[in-house]
Amino acid sequence: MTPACRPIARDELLAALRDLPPLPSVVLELITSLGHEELSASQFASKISRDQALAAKTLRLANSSFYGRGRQVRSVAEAITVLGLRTVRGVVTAAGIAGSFRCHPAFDHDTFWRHSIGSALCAQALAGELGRDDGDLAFTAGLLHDIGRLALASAFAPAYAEVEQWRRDQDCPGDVAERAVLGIDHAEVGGLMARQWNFAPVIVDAIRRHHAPPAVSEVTLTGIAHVADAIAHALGLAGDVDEAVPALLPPVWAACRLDDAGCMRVFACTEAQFETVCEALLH
Amino acid sequence: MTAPATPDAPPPVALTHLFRHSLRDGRVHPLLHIMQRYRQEAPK
Repeated sequence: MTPACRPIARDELLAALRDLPPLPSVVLELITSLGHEELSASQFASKISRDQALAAKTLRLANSSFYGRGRQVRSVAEAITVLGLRTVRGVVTAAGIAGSFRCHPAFDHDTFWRHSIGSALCAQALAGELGRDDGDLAFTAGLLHDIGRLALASAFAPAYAEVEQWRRDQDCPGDVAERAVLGIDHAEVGGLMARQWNFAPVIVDAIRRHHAPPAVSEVTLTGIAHVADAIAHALGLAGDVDEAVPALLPPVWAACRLDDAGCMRVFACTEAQFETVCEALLH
Repeated sequence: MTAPATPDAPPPVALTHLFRHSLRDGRVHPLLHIMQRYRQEAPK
């Protein structure tokens, strides 16, 4: 069986990515500030408060049953106190990006974001379990690892509908369907976008190589995105009937050195927060 | 493996469905057995 679409030419792809809507400035600022703690909580609160939609979602999460502390949170500054700066930064990033792309009926945005949020929470839990101090970077890498899918579905909607049909018909991984139909996959496209947005090189690499991380003995952020992607699918968080767990590269998995108890903690921590975060961000 | 007792826990068939690509290729995915134990041991 041969796909009906022609592969996307490189020039056409780059032009389409340049035409995508820019991310809200506050989101770009938050992502580029990852790893730098020069901004105080009050400066973050001031930036987030400038965007009503982002501020509203932050408050909704702070007042949710999971994170709520029994009193009404009325300001972003208070929300940062309740949730912590790192969680708020992740939430605002997710909400800002989710609100920046056009919706197309053929693309299931809810399923996409449920998997992205699940991967983000899992990557953060995994980083904590491994004793790392870059949980916020891991959250962002997990959240954005599939951003190329959103870009392709937004910029090439009819062609991407064919990708989804091909994936269902062949029951193959999404990146395989993308390369068969479009000649390029979401990891490569996501990497191009992340560079265009001036994301930190470790985030660019995590997005670009999350299906093929380097087989090194130490765990990298890219390796965490790779493992978190597989775990989020294995937990079935997307709620997609066609969901399937992608391959996990043995050297990358071995480098995590997770025993059964550690795995269980990562799974439980991810699931405990998942519905609350989805509820705050997606509805 | 025994069926989970709670309605919100996915039944075993869901896991074999989620891992169908590796099972089809004759590979045991590193997460399959851990996830089976997790679903059995999940808080009721």
